[in-house]
Amino acid sequence: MTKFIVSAVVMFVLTFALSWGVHGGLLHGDYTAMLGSGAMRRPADTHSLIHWMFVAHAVFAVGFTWVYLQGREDKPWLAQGIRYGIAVALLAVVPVYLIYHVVTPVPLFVAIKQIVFDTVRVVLMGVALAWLNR
Amino acid sequence: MRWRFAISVALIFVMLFLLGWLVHDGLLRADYERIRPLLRPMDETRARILYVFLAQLCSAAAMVWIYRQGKDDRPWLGQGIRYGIAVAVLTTIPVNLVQYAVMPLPLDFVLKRMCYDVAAVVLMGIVVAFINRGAVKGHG
Repeated sequence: MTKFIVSAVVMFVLTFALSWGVHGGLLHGDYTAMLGSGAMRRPADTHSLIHWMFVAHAVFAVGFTWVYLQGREDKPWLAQGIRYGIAVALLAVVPVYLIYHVVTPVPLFVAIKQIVFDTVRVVLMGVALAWLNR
Repeated sequence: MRWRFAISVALIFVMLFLLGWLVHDGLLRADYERIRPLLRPMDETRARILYVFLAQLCSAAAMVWIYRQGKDDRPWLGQGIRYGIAVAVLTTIPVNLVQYAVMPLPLDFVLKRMCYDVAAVVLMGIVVAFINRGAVKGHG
């Protein structure tokens, strides 16, 4: 149980920090360019809703840890972490951004960048989680 | 056991479309009309339908692969419900909450959509568990 809690807390910090790096840093210019479409909240409005982001990342961290621990095997931890990160990307990253692109005015090149950067994020998280639970 | 994997992916792929259509085009139709200005025009969405197929295929394959990786010898129904909740915790709930924070969507709409989508993934978790009941752990 202690390992689960420690893992979930580390995953929460990682997902929040890496998401901030991806969406608040690497993709900041793309999002700013999309503000005119009206499909995104102004930064000040988003900041006032930051607590929802905390809840979202906390829930994701718990789910990410829970599912990994359920399927962990006695195989090398690095490969397991990478494989798990890719599986989560296929489940929770690729489809989400593809569908955003289809139903909201997110340009395709932004969706591709979101997919690539967020896939790297969850693979890094998978490796870190596998190392913690090696 | 590859056939179980293939059948599971095919069935979940179909369920994603049917349940997605029921929830988003049926139960939430009026809600989507309210936020229509935030969305692409329908003709642009239809022109991108191939991306939806690709997205649902990725979801279906990953959902089945992860389930088979973590399944154990306990009763399949409990495992399916638990797995559906885990997938909701991993995708549906955080995605909806983040979308609420970054898009000007009404909270009642986001909560309603989240509840319907959670019910849908729990149902899919049960179906995956049923098809893969008693199957050997692993994807191949």
